[in-house]
Amino acid sequence: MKKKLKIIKAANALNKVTEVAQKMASKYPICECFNIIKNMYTAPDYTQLVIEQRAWIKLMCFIHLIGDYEISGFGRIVDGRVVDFDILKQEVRGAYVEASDDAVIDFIRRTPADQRGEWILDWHSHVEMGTTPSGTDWTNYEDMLKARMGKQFPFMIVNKKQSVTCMQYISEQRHPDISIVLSIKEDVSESDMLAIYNECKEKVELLCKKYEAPVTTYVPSYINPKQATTWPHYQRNNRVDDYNDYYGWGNRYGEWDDDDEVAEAKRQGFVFDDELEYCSECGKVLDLEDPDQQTWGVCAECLGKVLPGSTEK
Amino acid sequence: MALDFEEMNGREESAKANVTIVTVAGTQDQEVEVGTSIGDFKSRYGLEGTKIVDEEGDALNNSDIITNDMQLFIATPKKNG
Repeated sequence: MKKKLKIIKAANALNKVTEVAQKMASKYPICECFNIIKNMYTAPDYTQLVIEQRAWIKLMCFIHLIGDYEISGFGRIVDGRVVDFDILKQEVRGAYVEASDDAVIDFIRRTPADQRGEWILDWHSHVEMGTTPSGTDWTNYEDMLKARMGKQFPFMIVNKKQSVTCMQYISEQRHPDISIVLSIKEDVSESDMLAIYNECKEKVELLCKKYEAPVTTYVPSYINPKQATTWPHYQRNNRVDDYNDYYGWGNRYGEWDDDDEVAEAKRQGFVFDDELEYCSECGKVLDLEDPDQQTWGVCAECLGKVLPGSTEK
Repeated sequence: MALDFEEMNGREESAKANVTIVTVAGTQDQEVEVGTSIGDFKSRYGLEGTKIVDEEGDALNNSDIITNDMQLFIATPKKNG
């Protein structure tokens, strides 16, 4: 019995030592990076891709049919030639597009078995902006690499102006350029183009859903002298497709260009923040109909302090 | 008579299951010990944070066990900005 107890005590002590060792180890700044190391000299699978004319027309249809939103999908590569593009179920926004893991799995499952391993090109559009990958893109490519069991893959970003950035994602640190050649050998008739257009239109209607901002109730933080409610910030932010989630591109306030809605909001008595002016002394909202307040930039209460000849100033 | 050293040592050879992994990159086969949990399978192949579903499309949890040959579909969300 005593011997058994000793063994248990020894085992407990060993567990404690292991636990302490693990805790100590976690203090060291280790960043798992074996994928980077093992791919330092890996040759890229592609340095050039030829895009078939019909495939390019299809891609342009997707990008233009979605209007001012981004769109994403996969491309099929056969012997160094991109022969087709397709989309998957996704939620589209002005500067962001997301397909859930279920949508990606659905895409894989509906791919014919003999085409598995060919739909490897990861593409998305940047509407009319530059085609440089964003921070969101880089993070996602790293996740996608994991989901592809570490197998390198080509990615492409394209915009309405037909600018293209194409790279081979090997690891976080290695993504060499792929040159793109657009094949225009084929004579595609207008009726063929219309057929491609209609096919894309059907898919966009079926699979792409516009992002809808959650409805929240706005509680005004102050009442201005006119008793007018300030047009809520969140409404403006969400109207421009949630630029909050995105960084680096555009000005979320600058995108507010729906004149009809602005006019309607003003008619209802809403006042936009950027139309308000605040007292330089106490921060209260100024009554701009008062010429003194407008001229001196201070509220009625603070006017006495700043007017010339005032003893308080 | 051949001696079974595994049996003499009190060990039995663990059964294997063929798992076909299907991703966007294609298909690959892996031999996995029967009884391996999906959680262990994920950590062995660096698939933490990915979603795994079986042939029927049912999502598998980390506690689910691989008991026979199966096809697994693996993906992460596709987010672009």
